[in-house]
Amino acid sequence: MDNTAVVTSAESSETSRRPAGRRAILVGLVIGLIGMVLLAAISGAISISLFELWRDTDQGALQRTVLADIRAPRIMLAAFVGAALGLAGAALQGLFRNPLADPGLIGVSGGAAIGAITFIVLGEQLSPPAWLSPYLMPLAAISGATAATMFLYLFSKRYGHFSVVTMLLVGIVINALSTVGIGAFQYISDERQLRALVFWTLGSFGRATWATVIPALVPLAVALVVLLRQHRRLDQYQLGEAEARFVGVDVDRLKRVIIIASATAVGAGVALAGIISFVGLIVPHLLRLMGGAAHQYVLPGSALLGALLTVLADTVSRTIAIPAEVPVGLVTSAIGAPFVLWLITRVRAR
Amino acid sequence: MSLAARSVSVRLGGRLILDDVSLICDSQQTTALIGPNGAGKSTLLRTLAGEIGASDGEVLVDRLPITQLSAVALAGRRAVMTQSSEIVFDFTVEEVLSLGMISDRLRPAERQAAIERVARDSDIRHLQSRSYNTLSGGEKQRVQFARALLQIRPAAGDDTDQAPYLLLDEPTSSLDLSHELMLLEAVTREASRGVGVLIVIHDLNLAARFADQIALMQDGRIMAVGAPQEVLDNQRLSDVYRTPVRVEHHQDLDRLVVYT
Repeated sequence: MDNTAVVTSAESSETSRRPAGRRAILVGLVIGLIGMVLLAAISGAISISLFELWRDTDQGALQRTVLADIRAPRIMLAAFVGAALGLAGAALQGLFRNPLADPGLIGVSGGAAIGAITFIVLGEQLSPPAWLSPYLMPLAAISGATAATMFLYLFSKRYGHFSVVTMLLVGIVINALSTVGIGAFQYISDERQLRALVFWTLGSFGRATWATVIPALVPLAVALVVLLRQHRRLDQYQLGEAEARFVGVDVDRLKRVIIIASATAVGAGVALAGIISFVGLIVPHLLRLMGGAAHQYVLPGSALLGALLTVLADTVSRTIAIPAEVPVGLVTSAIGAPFVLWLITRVRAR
Repeated sequence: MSLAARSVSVRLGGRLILDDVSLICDSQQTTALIGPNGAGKSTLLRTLAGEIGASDGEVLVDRLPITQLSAVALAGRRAVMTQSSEIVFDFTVEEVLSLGMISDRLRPAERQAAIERVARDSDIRHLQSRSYNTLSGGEKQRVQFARALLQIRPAAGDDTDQAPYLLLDEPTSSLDLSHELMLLEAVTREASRGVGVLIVIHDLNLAARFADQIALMQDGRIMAVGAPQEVLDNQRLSDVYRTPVRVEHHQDLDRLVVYT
């Protein structure tokens, strides 16, 4: 806890942050997100021109199909998964009272991957009806993510505080387990499955179709709404666990709600897009730097900025090496890893 | 109206921390809890606050068992200031104050006025727009005190059959002389408008000067309880603190003075 206190006092400023400034940031993020979505929609292997799109030509028809069937579900998935990662990151950081909590780093995403892989392996034996499987996959991932978060929470609680070290070490354990799961699955899978598996470890929105996206977006969207409503209680929770109870917060309920909703949001995303690291870490941190720590601002801001950055990362991943595609997790990790290093130097600098 | 412990025992990790403790904190009164380290003062305060459950006996809030009140209902009845004042993330002082604002019946203007008032009482008006984490330990303590005041502020005078209670665990431990007095004078004002105050404090001179009732604790038991001049006795204090203590009535100041 000592270390984290240093981070925040380093980033503290003397000036007050007026609600107007925060509102301006949120409005800016909404506009930025809309702009980014439009940009993402027209760029890609087949660039879409707004003039051509409405023409009754072969080219126009092709562009309409690409936009409606390939690009739209993909952008929608990227935006929602990004919002989920950003918001879950902010909520978990609030719950653990620790700015280094990230769904990827602390193993929530890894837990979701374990759940999903278990389903893939066992699912073939169970052979559920075809209409049910798009729902079962996210459900399995959500269960895995919830189990991982609970484990993390109970484990760190047992040893007193949520120290950065304990949390990251437990995260390493969960991530190692998920690597074992993925590795074992790789070992028994054939060439074609192997290629698809890369997606678990590096993340990709390339498999998004309306049929797979919709079932995962429903629980994800519900979880986002639930998380956004906890802002006041999360603020009060920052006073301390006992102190939050003293001002009337049902702390046990708050913990349950945040753990399950975060795991649902992240798990549903992992089921479709694999593990995407660092978004949940970077995004809330940037928002606190810009406008302070009040969750009424940080939570919606993290959802918006998470969506914006993830759509951006996905657009980069599919346009940087046309016609090939770089896994989106590579892009976020390439940006995120140096960011974490920078964060650590801030923690160490007194 | 009172906040009362009735034959309360608390066992934590197999150890008996409180042993058959009874104490009544009347509304309109300031009760000081004194005693050496490890006597159980903080545990008694946290038990009366409802954080720690009694292993035996019960805590009564205006004759109602505290276990029958929900967290929200209890928050409207009593505010607690603990010794922890660290906040990891970067909130402004004004935001920290508003966390104690639990009544949602107030209009924005009334909220602002209530915040202004407690900020003046704790001398933190000039700090309101500062970042909480840049404050000194004493300043943080004053902010936490103001937050606790704010929590019970709207309740006073609303209901005549329900008194608000203010529980303070060493609220002056980091304060300088003048702010120490300022805080205790604010506490006295709260008591005079109907609040029942329980305060854990180490400074026996301050306890003697500001408390209506003093409870002296040792090894999880209350050794003496009553008015300051009854409890603060040379022999008794010397025994409990295991060091020679002298209590005298100071003619010029017209109050008890404790020497070690």
